[in-house]
Amino acid sequence: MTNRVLLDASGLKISQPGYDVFSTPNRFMNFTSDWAQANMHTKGVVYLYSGQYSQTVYFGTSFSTHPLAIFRAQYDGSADFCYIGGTHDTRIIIALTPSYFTFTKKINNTGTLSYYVTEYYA
Amino acid sequence: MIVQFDEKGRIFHLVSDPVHSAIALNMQRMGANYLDLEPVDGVSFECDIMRDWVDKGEIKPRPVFDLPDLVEIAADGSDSHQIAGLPDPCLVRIDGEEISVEGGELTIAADMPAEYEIRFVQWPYIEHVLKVIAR
Repeated sequence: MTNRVLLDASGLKISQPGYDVFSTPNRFMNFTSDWAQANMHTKGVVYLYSGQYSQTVYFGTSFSTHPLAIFRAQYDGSADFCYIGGTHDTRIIIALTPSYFTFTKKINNTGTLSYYVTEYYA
Repeated sequence: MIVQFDEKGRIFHLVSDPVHSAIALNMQRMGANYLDLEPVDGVSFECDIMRDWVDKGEIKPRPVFDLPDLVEIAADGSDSHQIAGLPDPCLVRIDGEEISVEGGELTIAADMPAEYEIRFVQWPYIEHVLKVIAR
């Protein structure tokens, strides 16, 4: 039987069925108290003027993989969309990498992107 | 707070406090145009990404056009409406086409009934949309 629950000095971890809690990465956890330590790395807002289509925001560091990031996009101050991690839809692309993200809009309106990047990565 | 701007002073990126030291260092390394504004007594600097701009290293409110939202004229080719006091030159966009207005004045006339939208887009002014109805 696979070990699925671990309680030690670092906290509590519960893995998904079939994954050993001692060795599996966080993305296969049902819960880990490490998530409570998802400190903010940076937050801010990017504005694309009419006629501008892309902007890149660097984290100033390179995580070993994509950090957990939350985005909120608005177009002409009206529609409002939230994303966890990157996205690629009909209006915008948020390309999230370990060291930066790029916000690209496909429409020639103004666009605002609020972002919150944590230091947590799976 | 970090305020990042382009060569025209257009602010396109704000980094909220507390700013991670690696971010300012990275901007410095990349030669970006930015202001690093420390909080005063724990209070962050106020900056509106859409309504402010950077002029000579200072954050200032963008000027606004002193223009009406709507103008109505007779569509007879002789009636007109004069707009004065524009910055010189002033970039305007009419039906998607950009025109540079010289001399600070613009005369609006029409010989066919229609509705027009004139966008005044001269930087650093805040964009203004003027609707023109010619009857």
